[in-house]
Amino acid sequence: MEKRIRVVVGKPGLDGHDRGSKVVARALRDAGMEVIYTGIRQTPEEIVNTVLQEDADILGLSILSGAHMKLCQKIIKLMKEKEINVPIFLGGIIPADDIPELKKMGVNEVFGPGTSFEDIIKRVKEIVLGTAV
Amino acid sequence: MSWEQQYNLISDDFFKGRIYALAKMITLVENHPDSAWKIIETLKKNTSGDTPTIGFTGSPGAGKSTLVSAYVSMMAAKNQKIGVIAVDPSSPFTMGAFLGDRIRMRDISESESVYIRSVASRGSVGGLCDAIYDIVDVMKAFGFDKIIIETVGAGQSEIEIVYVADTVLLVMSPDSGDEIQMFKAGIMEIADGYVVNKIDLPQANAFSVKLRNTLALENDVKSKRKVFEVSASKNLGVEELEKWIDQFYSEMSSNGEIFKRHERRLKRRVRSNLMRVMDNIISSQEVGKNSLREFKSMIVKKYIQQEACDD
Repeated sequence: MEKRIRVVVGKPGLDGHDRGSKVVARALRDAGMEVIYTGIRQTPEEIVNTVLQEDADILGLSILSGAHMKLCQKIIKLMKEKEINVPIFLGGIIPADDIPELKKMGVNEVFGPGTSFEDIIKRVKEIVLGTAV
Repeated sequence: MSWEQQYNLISDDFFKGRIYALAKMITLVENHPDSAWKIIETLKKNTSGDTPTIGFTGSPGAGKSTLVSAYVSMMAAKNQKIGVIAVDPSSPFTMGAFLGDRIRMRDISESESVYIRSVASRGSVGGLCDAIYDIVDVMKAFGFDKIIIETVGAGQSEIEIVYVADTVLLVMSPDSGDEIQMFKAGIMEIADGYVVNKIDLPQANAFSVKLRNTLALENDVKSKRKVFEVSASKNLGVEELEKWIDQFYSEMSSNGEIFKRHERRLKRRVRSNLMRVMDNIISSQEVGKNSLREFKSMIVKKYIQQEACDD
């Protein structure tokens, strides 16, 4: 059987602007992936627990609150503690200056506003299937 | 990597009770339907006894996930270990899926004693997925006190759950039609208990009375079935339901009904396994110039060959 990519899409933190995460979740669904959608206002603990229980291949986060540095830090720390080795992509309002630091931290990809679905899908597949770096 | 290699990587941790290994074991049986029975056989050597399996079905939006959450949190509070399988549909066009049941289960998603797995139906039409029997077995081997299965939002004929679960509850929204809908065969027949959810809505009591009246006219077995009025989101009536589920299970165990159900499950499971293998053989063969009869015996021959190889 062809491998089905399992993606957890979550929104950590307190902002409730979930249009972006819903739209991306649906685009990934239409690209043939199984998307586990967690909804808004998730704690880092909840998101990491979901990734663990669902045996996700990749985690997508959407953050528009400006708290992306702290939230990503916390999520990556928890994942390391639980020995979860799952790549992360991030979307939302992320200043370009923060991207190098986020990538150093362990975020694999950052998709800013205006990124096409095509690019997101292609990159997610690349990261999960390991076809490119 | 072959399934044997993957299995060997995680099996020690699986029996140590590590969640990541359970999650990966489920993925393994989901993605390797042809080898799943070998995996299950290996797992079963290390387990004993049976685990009550409770199924929740009903139409989309009836409140199944919310009810499962309320029910499971009651058991988690008593330190019971619960495994939840929540199935949502896969697209027939892209095979993608949007699995959104966890959103309604936030009260239990952080509990140490609860494991939730979202599962896509992957082309199965009975309201569950083809791997459901295997997933349930993996969970049984892991060691839960109860296993809860939530079907996709089900229509009238998506009734596979009756074969998979020991007990079936039909969750209904108070706006799901008049008594004509209740007379219809299919999903209305498979429930051991009916749950009228959203009982806080104005029309809910009238619906519940109608349901009770309709059931009273049915045969001996059906007319004795319980109706529960609950509001899952307000946590009303869930305690009574929880008590009844345990009571019903011990009744079934003492009057032998549970063995009948186990046998029914085994037959269905063998059937669905054979159908899948047959389906693969049929779709991979060219009809060519064969007659109907020749084609059929060709398929049967192929099947027997394949079975011999597998053993």
